[in-house]
Amino acid sequence: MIQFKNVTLKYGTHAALKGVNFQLPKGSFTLLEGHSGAGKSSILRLLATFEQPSSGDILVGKSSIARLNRRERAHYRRNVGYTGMDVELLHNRSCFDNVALPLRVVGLSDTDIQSRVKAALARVGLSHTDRMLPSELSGGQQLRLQIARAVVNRPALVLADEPTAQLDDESAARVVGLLEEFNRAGVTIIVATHEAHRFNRVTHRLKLGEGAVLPAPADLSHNGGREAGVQTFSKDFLNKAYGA
Amino acid sequence: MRWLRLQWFSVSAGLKLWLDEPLGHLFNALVLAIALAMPWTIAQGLSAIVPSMDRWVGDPEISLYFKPDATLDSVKSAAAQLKRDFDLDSVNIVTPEQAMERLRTQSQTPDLAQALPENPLPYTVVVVLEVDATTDTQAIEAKIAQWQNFTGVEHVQYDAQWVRRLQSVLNGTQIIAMALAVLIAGMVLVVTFNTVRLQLIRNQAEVHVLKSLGATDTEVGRPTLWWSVSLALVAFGLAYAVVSGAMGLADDAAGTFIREFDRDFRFEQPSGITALGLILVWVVLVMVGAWASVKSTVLRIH
Repeated sequence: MIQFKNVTLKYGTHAALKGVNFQLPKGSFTLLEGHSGAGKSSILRLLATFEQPSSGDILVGKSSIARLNRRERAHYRRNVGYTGMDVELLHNRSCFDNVALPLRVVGLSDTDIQSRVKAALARVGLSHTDRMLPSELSGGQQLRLQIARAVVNRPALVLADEPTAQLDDESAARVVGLLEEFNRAGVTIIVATHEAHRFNRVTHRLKLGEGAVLPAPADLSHNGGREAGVQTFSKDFLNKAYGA
Repeated sequence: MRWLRLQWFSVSAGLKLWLDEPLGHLFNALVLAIALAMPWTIAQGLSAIVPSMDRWVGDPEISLYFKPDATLDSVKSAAAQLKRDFDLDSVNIVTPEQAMERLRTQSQTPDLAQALPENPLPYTVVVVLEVDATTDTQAIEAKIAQWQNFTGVEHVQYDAQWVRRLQSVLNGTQIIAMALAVLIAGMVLVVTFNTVRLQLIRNQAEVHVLKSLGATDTEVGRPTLWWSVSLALVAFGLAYAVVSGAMGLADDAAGTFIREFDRDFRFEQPSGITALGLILVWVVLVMVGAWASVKSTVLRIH
């Protein structure tokens, strides 16, 4: 379970997130929606531990990831797959080497690396690119390569920041299909997007505005949180509220 | 096994950095090599010059001249006391006959010895002092004052200035050697720190990605540390070639001239043991500089 407890994130005097509360169950598929600057990416960055909250607490499972030291943070990241602008591909390394990086970090054997990278590349439909450089791929292919790198370590949580942005319909559908496929396998997925209509297998939605989770209409909301002030959204609610 | 694999990955990633920019890294190695070669060449040169100076100057002798009426027994007794009291390895007694013979054979004026009606030369006890940079010249002078009071001793001859001069030369070279060692260490730390910092900044995209994927600061910095070791080894090889070449050239040029005065003089190539000792210190120094740089730079790359 992922839980944000009154989380505030400030950059100088500007608050990107203001006292955000929510909780998401394990294995869920969550969309973070909202306009630019609403705080979607900040939530992903906090969950990836690229940022630390200015106040409040973030629980993943039973651990507070807001209080991890540098070493613990590094080990936590091994269980999180991230795709987005914050973790670019290395353009001087082959596609194979890019996808293999998370496995090199944990010290897997060459045999295991070979088989897992090939499987990950096959899963995203890029088997033929293993010797190519990322710069030789299209935008959509690069994104799929990022997804392959994000999931090759079999993480429990995948965070995707605008995974369908600037993709044509076919490429976007393929990326969405991949994320949904991983979710079916039990991986918790959180996606920050402007293109909610592309996603079908959504269990939770968080609508953000001005750094806060916007309250859902009273007649449709379902407060399933176990703690006061924690908002969760059922699939029924989401269907009614957003027509997903 | 996992630990070994991680180390191997770091070593191979470190060596692959050479492929990214071979010429640039070669220049980095060259900078380090110059930093090492300059003081090393001076130290190697001094290691040839100082012993030669020592041989050339020789150890100072102290001569105790006895009164003309002194007997061999009293001289022997004084010599034994000298040896005992001042912990000397040996004292040499020169009889008046031996002194006259030397005058005849080694003096520039052998005729003078022939012209003397009788042998006026006294018994002499000659003591050779071993002087080094730590020798206490004041203590020597105090001893000499005591020797002056020995029974039968008429005069003690000792060139204190000569000893002081030799000692100051030895002291000077020791200070130069220490200053060079400190200079090498300081330059290596600064040059390595900066080289590694620039290398990490050049690779900051990779550092950032590795950290984002869960590599610890140590794991991120390890390839750079191994790269710095390889850089140190290449730089050492270059510096060794420079020092060897410089010693060869110096021996051809200046050595021939110096051998006119000192047959044993040689500008020698660095010995295997010297090179081995130096390479260990050198690699450790480079690693310390690199480690400090990695620690501070990786921390700043988010």
